[in-house]
Amino acid sequence: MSLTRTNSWPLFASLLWRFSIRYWRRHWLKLGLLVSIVGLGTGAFLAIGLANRAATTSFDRFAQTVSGQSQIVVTPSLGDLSLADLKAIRVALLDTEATLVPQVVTTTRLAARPDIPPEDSIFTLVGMDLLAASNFLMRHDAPASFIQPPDPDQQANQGITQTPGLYSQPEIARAFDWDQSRQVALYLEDQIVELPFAGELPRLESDLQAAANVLVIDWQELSDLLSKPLHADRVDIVWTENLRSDAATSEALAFLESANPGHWIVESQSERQATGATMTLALRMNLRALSALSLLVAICLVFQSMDSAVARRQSEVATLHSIGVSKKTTRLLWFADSAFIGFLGGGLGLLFGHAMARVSTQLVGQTINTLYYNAGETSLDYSLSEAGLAWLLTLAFCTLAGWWPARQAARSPLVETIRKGNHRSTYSRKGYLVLALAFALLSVVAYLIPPLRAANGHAIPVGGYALAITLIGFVTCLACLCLESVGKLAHLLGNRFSSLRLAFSQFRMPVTRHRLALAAVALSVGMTASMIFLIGSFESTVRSWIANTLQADLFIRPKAVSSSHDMPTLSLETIERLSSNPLLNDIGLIHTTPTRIQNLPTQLIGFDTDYLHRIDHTTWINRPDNLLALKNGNTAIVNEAFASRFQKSVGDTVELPLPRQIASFRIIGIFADYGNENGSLGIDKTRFIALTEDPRPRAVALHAKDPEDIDALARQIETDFPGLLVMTNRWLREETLRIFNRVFSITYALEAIGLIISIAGLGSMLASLLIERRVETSALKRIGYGARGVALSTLWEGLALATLAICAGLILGLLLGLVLVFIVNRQSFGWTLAVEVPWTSLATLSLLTIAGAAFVSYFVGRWSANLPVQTEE
Amino acid sequence: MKLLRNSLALLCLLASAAAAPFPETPSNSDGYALATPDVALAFPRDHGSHPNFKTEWWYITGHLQSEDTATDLGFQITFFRSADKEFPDSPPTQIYMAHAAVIDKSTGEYLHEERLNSSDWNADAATGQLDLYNGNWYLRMTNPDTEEMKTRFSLQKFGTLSLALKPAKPKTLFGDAGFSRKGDEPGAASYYITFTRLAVSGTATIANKQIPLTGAAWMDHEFSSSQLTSDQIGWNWSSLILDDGSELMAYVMRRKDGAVDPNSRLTLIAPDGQKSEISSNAFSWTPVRYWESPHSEARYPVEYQINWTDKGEKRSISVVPDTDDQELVGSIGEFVYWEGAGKVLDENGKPIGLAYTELTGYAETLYGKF
Repeated sequence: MSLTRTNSWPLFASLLWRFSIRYWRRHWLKLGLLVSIVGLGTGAFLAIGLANRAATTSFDRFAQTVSGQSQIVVTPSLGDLSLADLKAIRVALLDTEATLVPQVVTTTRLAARPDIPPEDSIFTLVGMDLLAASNFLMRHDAPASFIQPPDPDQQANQGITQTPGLYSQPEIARAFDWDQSRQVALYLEDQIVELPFAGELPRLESDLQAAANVLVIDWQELSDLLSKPLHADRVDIVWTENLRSDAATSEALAFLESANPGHWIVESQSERQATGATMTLALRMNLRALSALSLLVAICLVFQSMDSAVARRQSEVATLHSIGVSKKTTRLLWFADSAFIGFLGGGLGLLFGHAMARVSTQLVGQTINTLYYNAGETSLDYSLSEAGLAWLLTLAFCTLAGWWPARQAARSPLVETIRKGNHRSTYSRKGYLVLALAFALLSVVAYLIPPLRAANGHAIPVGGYALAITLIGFVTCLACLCLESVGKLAHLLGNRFSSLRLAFSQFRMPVTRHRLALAAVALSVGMTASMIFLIGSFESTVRSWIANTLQADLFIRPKAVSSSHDMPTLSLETIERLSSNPLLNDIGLIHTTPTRIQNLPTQLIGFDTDYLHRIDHTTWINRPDNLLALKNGNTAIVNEAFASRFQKSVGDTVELPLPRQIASFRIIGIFADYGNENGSLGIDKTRFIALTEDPRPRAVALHAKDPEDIDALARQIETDFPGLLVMTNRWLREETLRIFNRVFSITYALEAIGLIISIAGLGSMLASLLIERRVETSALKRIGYGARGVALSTLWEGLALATLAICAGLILGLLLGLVLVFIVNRQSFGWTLAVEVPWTSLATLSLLTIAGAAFVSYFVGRWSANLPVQTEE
Repeated sequence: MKLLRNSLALLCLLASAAAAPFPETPSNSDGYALATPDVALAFPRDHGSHPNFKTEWWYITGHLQSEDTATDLGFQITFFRSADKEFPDSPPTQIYMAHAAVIDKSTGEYLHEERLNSSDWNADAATGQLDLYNGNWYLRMTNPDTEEMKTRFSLQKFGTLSLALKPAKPKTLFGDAGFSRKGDEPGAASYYITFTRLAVSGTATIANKQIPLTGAAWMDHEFSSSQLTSDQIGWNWSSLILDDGSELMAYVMRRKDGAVDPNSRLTLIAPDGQKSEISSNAFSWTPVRYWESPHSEARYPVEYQINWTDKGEKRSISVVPDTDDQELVGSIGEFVYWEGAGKVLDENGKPIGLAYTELTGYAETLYGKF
């Protein structure tokens, strides 16, 4: 006993070397597989973490192009910031060292470059006061500025000059071969404009954050091109690094708040980032949850592997106990073992995560670009905190995964542990039944948990997430309960199908690893099935919504549009020319602009009420009694997301902050809108134009007199208006669904990783069981079973387990799908979805899982049959 | 009673003059207003901007010390306004430039910065009152009755100066009630208003450390549309704040041929504020030592002597710079000039006051720019 009581750490280190490290050195291949799978799970989790972070930090990054990181941003609650606003902001901050950078921001697209992929031709076009920017640059000893000093050879009065045209980052100029002799053709608003390339963007040497997909132009020039008076969309307020401090920011915020005429949104950089983050909160949370699935399944595998090791090494444990090693020490050894796997797997996961993050960042960025804001090319920064989180979670979960097997190893009586063989499950059928009932009860409780209010105004469906977890527990317990019943099927086969009978007989007394593999596959299938269910329901709802909404024959938008949140407009001249086309029967105009309500970003829509009334194309959740009442200017219709986010219903009033006044609107109807989760407040266009002082619409719907004329009309418009994107009804429907599918591509990728890990887990489980059953396998071979027979038996065993897991997974998927549709989605986005079960996709999922399981099981069986009888495990 | 009525009438007259807009004066061929002798300046109106004139500046130069004299600075903050007309009858657009400089007299280190902004939003000069800014540099009159002012400006490599300026004696209107002729051509003149002695108090914020400072400053406010004639290339300007409570201002207009223009003036301001002007033939401004700029290659007479006869008595003082390199070479604007702090010495070489000297037209002619 003295061995265990004194000098316990040297003893532990010695045992660790002999018991663990030597073991893993002998079984390096198995260790490699296990570590790789854990690494894959960690990698998926980290990749999504990094992609989410890149998407969040890419918000507003264009604004740092010249002046670097801003500490405060001022935006208007509606419309533009006028020169009077800018002067007021300037005067408010006279007693600070802040530099003000007003910017006009729009999206543009390269024209006449069909050789460039569409996503590479989109730029954020920033109009800046280049004179003020030059002051800033020269004050900070930048090597160049936007203005040139007078030429000494010229007349004395020549003065300073400023090269008109576009400035870009050096890498963009090189990529597109732009020099100062070139004209750059751009889609801007509904026109094609040709602008001279003025040169590379001057910037501070220390500024490494500037986004690549930004073009800079003088703000007066851009305002003229946009046919607007000189204005700004935002003002960035910047301090140089040596003057930056929280006190300076707070002081400036206080100055601005006291000068605020009511319609300035004044946000610190962190608040601004939070605004961007809240826009994508639901998407990022869902991706996080999905990426955690891979990690979870991988951890199941570690549990399974540790359980297998306990079973196979019971004699070693018994020997250690017999020579006086304490149970605590053996338990610690198992913990160290699992922590070792977590350590290595987590480490490998950091490498995998870094590699996978390139793809995930692109996919998430693509989704953000499409749905939320033009993030441009999201840049991937390897975040130490994200990596640390992923690694620590892996280490902690792997150590926890070793807890149960360690407990089993330490507690097993000596006489039991001397016996070699399968480690039988200690839970009875009754135990699983009790657990299943407990989870069912907890599910009821979870269902009753109310949602929490999130920063983006929507709700965090904590009850929904809790319900999903309890349902996973409920269904996996039921599946484990059913596992032993599979063993009874062996009797039904009589003396036929010996391989099948042999396979089924393994389930008469299933081991823990059977249940873990069952749970892992069921979990993966269930989560994937639930997403298929959600996406199927979503797609069906969107299809039906599109069918109802898209009733016009042609839809027109400026070609400069890159995402659903871009705001290029169509000029009144264009509208006039379009309206006068004799082939047209009707025309509908949509006006939109971003706005803030209760300090949350949302959208104001100006509807042509008569058109809305004339063409019944709105999917109503609450149909207004009299839609034409919208024309009185004091009423509004809102979409579901708005109603959910701002907790408004019909009859409630919405207040919109304007310069020195607040406009109030009474809600008279709620409509469905699946293109916007931040909500829309719809008012009559006359009031909209009066409020925004911008009469130009963002989109136009055209109805042809004769359906036969649609194609001719589209061709004619395309010819007459090269800056316009003309979309036929059919094309737009297909495009909407294409975007829809693209948005979910990251989801599919994550689920594929989860499924691959679970199938690998199934193979690993079978391999470990077959190693334990090698005496049994030898006996089978001696009585005439060939390698094929053993492989077939393993194949049936794997298939049986996979089939049960798939059945459980499909039930789980159905239940989780309902939770996603009716609780999580409703509370997160405020969307009502019609339930649709996509049978084909679910069947494909089942077949793919079965095929994967069959492939893995058969080859594991073949491998095990070829193992020499005397080979040590 | 009659006296009271007359006083009230005079007050009303002054108040209405101050409230009324600046009177229209004849324009030159480009459409800019010309300085004419028959205009009565009114305040606080004429401390403000006069946008119909081509050029206007508010110029403060001064000397600051901390209580322990460890910090000993000279400073310059100048706000320029320049009007630009596309056509003679089109409304002028305004461009604002500003120069700031600080010299550490103990080390001779000289720092300067400049700003150029349009009137869109980042710079402005109010009419009717003194209230102007260029970026976050500003100058405003905080009390029109006492004519106290406040200015704040910063230099990236120095820090911030926030200063309160209080007139120690009444303002001086140079020339004929503020009408200051600069050349023989019609219109070659400016309106010229000066605070010759301002008591300054404030703080320098350097590397987050606040240093209380006091000192004396000089402020010029001048507006015109064509100060120089075709044969003039620039000027030497001296503003001396003497220890005996008097001030001296020398304005030497230089011609292309090196001669001094007869419109040059020496003005003495007695401790009680009385001014006496001495014409160009009764004083001399004589270079003693030149310094050649390594930046612009211009040769500046940085050390000089002023000789004049006052009430039959010959007087001579000399000015030596605190450091030679006080040349302001702008990278935005097109002006290269020397604006430097210095000391005033009597005939015996004894310090008797503080000086600021402006030397223009040495790098290139200024004709056509002012």
